Amino acid sequence: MKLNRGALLLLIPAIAAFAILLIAPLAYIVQESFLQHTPGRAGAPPGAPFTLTNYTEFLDPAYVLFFYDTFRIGLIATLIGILIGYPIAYTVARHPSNAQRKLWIGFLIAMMFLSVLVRVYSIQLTLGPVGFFRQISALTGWSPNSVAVAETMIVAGLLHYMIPIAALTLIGTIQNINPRLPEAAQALGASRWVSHLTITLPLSLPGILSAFLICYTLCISAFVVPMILGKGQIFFVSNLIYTRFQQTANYPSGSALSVVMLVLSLLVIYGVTRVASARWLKA
Amino acid sequence: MTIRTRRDFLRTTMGGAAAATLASPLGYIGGAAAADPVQGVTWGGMWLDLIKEITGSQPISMNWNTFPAGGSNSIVALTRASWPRPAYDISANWDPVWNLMYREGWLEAVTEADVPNLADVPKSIRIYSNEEGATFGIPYSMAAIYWGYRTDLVDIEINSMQDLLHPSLKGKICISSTDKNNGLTQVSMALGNGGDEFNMDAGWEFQKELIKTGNVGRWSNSDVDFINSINTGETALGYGVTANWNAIKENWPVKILNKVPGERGFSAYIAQEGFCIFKGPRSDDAKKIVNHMLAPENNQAYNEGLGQAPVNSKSKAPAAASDVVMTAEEYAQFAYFPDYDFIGKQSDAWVKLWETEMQPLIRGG
Repeated sequence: MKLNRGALLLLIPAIAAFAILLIAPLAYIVQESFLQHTPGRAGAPPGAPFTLTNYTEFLDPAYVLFFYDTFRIGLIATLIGILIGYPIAYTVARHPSNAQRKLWIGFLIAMMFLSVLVRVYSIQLTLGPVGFFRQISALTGWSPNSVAVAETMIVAGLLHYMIPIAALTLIGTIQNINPRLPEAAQALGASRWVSHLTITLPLSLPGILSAFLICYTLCISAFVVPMILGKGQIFFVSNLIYTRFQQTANYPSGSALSVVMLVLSLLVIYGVTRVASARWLKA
Repeated sequence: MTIRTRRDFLRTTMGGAAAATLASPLGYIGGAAAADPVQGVTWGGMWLDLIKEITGSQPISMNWNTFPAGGSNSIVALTRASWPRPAYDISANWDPVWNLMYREGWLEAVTEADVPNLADVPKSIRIYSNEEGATFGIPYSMAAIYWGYRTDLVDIEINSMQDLLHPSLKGKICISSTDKNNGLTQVSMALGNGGDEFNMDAGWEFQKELIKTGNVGRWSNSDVDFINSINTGETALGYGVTANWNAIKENWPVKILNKVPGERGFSAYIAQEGFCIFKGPRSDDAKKIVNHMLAPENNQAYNEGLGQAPVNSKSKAPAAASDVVMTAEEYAQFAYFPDYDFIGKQSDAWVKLWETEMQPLIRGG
């Protein structure tokens, strides 16, 4: 498609906004990541020399653990979110009553407006020191202060947000699938499950991929959830970045960590999209 | 302009929106003027309530805010991003941060001519001053950080740092990682094992041993986290600041470990809370407000609320500050004055050490 002059003029504000609000700060972060930090100063002092140390320090095997935890726990929450969100989306999309459908969608949207702090502290109250989990752990012998419990709490915290997002993303996709296709399969003898698994589910794959990418991006960049529910036992990379910027004033190291995380996230998202496109979406 | 058609309406509203979009960042970049209210920033909770009440009785218009994220260190990143137009004129803070901000050239150094009530603050505690004797970290409250425990939940008598390794304390200890309190928890462990802030190896080794025991039940993120964890009984023993222990003492029997003979780790780590004034168009008004805050009755009211010791020699220390106020002999024996400037310079290295050596142990545990 060839853009005419008018269309190009209309694009200028969007390009300018991107350049000012995204590209320029990103370029600043990249530049900062190569500067040498002086302990006891705020970031790199004026005239600080360039260095690669801010990047090489993350080659320490211990940092792999932080990246591993971030991507692994994010993946668990994303998959569970889609697993729970899909049936919700299916029910809403196929509901015969238009009013009830609107009510469901309104409820899911309202869930997203709930403050992240309210979600996080509600989980902490439920599964934390004053919640019922303490009694359960006393009966089962699980330690309420164990790393496994902290991890479970983080996944629960992430799911609070991921389930509505996954459901809302999938509703449109499922609504666009012609309901007569599975009906035709059933008329020809396929059971409801077989028709669902062989027709509805494959046709939902583009939506599932979209939901996965949105949820996974949000999960791996989560900050408040692991900070509060991780109980200092589990840290996401975003928490390390926060520590660099807000606690130790080592902005070059925080910038380097941000750049590494950005590159890794883009690679993961690109890889998932490529694999999904090649294996499933073409079919 | 009369709006008659849908196109007129869109043109009018879009024009207004565009103007507002352009005006708001330009207005921000233009910065606040001298006539705008003075902006102060402090910790939340009782710190905020008390200072609001005190400054509410003086004539200069001002607003108090809480630190934008996390603790008082967060003001450094915010100020660097907004300099030379700082978002705040007055900031609460404590020892490790004063020197850093002064080195950046952000702070006003005040004299008794600028802040007359400073004359009532003993010079011996005006330690954050420049070579000319002007103070850039204005003291307001003397606190201490120390170990303590709930006697109703801890079955053994704690007399030495080694007792923290006792199996009966499994999951009962609440401490913070190195990025909170600027690593003072780890300094106390070093001191309890023959080291100090300049020689931390013994402290790190002890912390590794402590992690392996599984006795640490919570690594607190904040003061609120610490208070809640011990108040709810999730943990029972920890290392916290005076005001935190006072909040726990209101509900539970607590034994404070700040005067344990022969155990240097269980000292009272003296810390100074106070305020600094940023260079800017409202710094003169800010000095007047800080002078009002330093008046004997105001300094006393603030510290009564926190249970900490006032700095004005004409103010009376509240009974709740008994863990901080000591005799000269007790100070010599039980108080520890860390080199906060050194600690501030080490915090980055200590945090990285914690991430690479301690966190894998916690995660593996």
